Amino acid sequence: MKNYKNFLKFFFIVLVFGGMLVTSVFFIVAKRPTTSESEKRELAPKPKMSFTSLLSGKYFTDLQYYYNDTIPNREAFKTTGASVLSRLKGVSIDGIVIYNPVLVKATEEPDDEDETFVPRARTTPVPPEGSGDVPATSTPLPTDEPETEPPVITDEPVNTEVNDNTAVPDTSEPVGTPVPTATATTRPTATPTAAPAKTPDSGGEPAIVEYPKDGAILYGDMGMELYGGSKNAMKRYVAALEYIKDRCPDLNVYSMTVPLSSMFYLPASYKSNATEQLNDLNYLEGLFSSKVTVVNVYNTMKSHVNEKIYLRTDHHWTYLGAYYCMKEFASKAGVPFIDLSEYTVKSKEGYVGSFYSYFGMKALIDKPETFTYYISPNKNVRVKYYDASNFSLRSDIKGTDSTNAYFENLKVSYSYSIAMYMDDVISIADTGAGTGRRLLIIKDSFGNPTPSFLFGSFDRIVMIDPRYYTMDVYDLISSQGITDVLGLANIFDHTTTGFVKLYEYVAQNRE
Amino acid sequence: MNFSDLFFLYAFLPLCLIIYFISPKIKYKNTVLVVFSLIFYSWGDVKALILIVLYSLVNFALGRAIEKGRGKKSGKLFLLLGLFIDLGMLIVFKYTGFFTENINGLFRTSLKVPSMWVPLGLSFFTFRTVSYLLDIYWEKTDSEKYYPDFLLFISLFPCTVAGPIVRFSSIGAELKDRTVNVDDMYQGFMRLMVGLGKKVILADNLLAVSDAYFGVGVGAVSSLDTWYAVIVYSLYVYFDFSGYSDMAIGLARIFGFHFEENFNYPFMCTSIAEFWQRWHISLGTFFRDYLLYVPIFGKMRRYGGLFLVWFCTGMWHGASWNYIFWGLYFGLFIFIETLLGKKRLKKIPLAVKHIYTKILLVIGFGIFRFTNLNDLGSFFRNIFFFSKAGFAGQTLPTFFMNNIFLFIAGIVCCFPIIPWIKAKVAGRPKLETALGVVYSIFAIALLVLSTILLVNATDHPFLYRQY
Repeated sequence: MKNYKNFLKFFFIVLVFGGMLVTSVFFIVAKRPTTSESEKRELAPKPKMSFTSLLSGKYFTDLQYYYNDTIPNREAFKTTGASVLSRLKGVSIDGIVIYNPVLVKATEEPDDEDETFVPRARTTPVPPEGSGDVPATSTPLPTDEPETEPPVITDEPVNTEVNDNTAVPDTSEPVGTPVPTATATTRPTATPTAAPAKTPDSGGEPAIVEYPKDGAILYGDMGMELYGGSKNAMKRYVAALEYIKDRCPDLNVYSMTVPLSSMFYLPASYKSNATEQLNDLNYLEGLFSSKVTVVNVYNTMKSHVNEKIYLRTDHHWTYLGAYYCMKEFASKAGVPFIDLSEYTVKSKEGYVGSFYSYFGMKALIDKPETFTYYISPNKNVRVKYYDASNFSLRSDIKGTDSTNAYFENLKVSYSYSIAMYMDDVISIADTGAGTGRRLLIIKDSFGNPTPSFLFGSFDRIVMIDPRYYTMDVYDLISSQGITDVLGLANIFDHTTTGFVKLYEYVAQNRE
Repeated sequence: MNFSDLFFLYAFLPLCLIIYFISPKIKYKNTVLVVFSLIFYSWGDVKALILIVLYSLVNFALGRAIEKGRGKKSGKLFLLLGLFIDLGMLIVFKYTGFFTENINGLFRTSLKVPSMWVPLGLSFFTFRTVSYLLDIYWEKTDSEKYYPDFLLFISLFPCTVAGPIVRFSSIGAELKDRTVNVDDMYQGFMRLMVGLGKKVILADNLLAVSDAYFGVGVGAVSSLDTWYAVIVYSLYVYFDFSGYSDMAIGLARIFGFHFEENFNYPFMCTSIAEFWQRWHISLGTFFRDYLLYVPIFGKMRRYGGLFLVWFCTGMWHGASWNYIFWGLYFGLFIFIETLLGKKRLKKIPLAVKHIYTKILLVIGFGIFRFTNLNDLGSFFRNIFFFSKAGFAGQTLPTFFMNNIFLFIAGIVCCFPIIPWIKAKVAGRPKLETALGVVYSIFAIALLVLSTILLVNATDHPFLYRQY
């Protein structure tokens, strides 16, 4: 019996060690992948040996990284692993899988603290409280412009017949006086991307920006963020926006708070979260005085809930959702609006957004969606992009047509940035619409595609993102001849202090 | 490099095993092990190679000098010199920044806080050499006469980076002469695969669950969620560290070394003192043997020594106040248990003792988790149901169910199920064989699954590597 046992043990050793050897040989001999389709990235390159890299030890760590990152049949291993793991970990209830169990609401100050918006002197600008260590702004990128060259900001109507180099500067100084860089630890309202390391034309991929994650669930094949906001933050947002109106009484000021997809598509067991969202939306609207016109888009979105108004694999709305809401806004603002039928409809297949890449919903990689976008019929539009921290022209940002408004060559995973590019720039679109109205949009990433639907509505559309904009907004308003201001963000950002503090910062910096 | 790494499992280890087993004599085998151990230790950090060679040379020479000076003043002086060098190095590399920060805080100075390079596994190999020198001085063991073997003792890759704290007295003989039979190989591979499974399948995924809460900031977590997350975190620490120990013991066994157990189902304890007899046993016995009865507290030696041990235990785990609190926290409850006495403790119902110990342990792991004292404060507020985020999070029921099998597996694997089954079938050869086959297949399945999960997995360095 003992011999039999020993034989079994010996057999086991041969099996295990033999298996390890065969696997080792396979890992060494078989062809190694160089790119990951599912992760949309280049895998680690084989390191080159040099005296320096050997001495520093870098060669060895790079070799190990290369070995692990490029295992043959990597995609198959990953798919199997993810599938097995999801089954081994637990069960989904009503088809729901939670990815981030902590809601942003929990990070908010208690409402009873009643912290209100208080304008502060510009001479002592205070970055947002609790801003921590994470700079909101991306590192300013080098531009093609000499540092001394004044920003090309025109106060004149755009010449629609010539190329965008004809814009006439109306000032020799930057319109906004730089103030200390705001910092933030806001939630990822932005496309979770930052300034591109390379130009979009070169196929460069924007770097990933890490933000605290919100509560997020996967319901079937649709990712959604769970809502949580604070009334105190809402009060502060309202005060900040109304303060802009107080400072510039001639402006038309609007507020648009966009519901999350979870307001419409949550399963029954999480309906209370949607109800909370609706209640807060109504509460927020009730806080505004007549100084600000509220553009309530809840009913707008609800009436189109059977259409694809939200992305399934990304936390943003679709361009179609943005279109419907802009239509509502144009109606409130009393400006003309180009009907959707006049747009050229295009789409990209295989889109997988932030719920996969940022929130970690790996299952979505097998369930990509079609990203549909709309090209405006107004070909007279000219858009320029400026560095949000110093107003230098970002001539490296080049669109796919003469309008410079669309970036169709971006990789499919960055499709949300096709219209009007990304968050970390100031964009100025001259449209030639001839309405005599000029719009400033202060927005989170939900605002990114919105100007592209207003090219027939406003002569000029300036768009800034409080997470990146570091200059004087009142200088901007006066130098650009702004007539209308729209505060636009998803409901998270109008009801949580992370973003609201940045709004305050923008609003108060002229005091 | 660490053990739960594809490069280690499918490049380094097979190569090492092949060369080791085709080497004909123990001298060559040791040479192979030394070379691979030095490569393992200094992988990606060549200065670590210089450090460990110099360190071993110094301690080798000191060991010889202490042995020669036994019973003389010189022996004591060399011992003191050795302790000064070894512990001094530990203090300088690991605690300089911590001390500077506290001096700045205490005296409002603005001394520059140095960013020190901390050699991998410093705390572990320092304690190994300290025990070596003291054992020579106390004549519990003789010094190693052959430097390459001493270098192997210091650098032996299964235990260099994260323990166990193997003493020279326990493996000194095996450095000179050891054999590997089929059972050693079998047991070694089994431990290796089970340990790998503990680390990759359980620990890494338990950490992800815990981090889903604490990664956001403990202040944002509700009370019930905090309890859930900290229980999961406690399981993570156990499986991470015991998984590593299993792999270390298994690897050593394949090479013919017999390390002592480092964990013995610690969550089965019914007192805090018993927990520490079952948890990181090599560290506990080190402090017991070398520090507990240090005669520096006079008549209060018993209790003074106890708190000194727990202060050092905490400090050893990291240069941060939370680790010191963590050590003293356990010291306090062991002190209370000592005051109560064994007889009184025995009278307490078993269920009460289990509940008492588990609650204290889980809270203890919470203290261990939060190096930031503000976070630690939030943690305590949460577990005593004063969380700003309320009693329970909206997502807890679903999230709990999403991870229910993992959680149950974590709890179940804390129990000594395998030893229990083995005891049940003992004396019944057919059942024993069947159990062996089933267990072997299970271990192979763990290896396969771990390998799949390791592909492109985020690198989770072993928790204890930082110490």
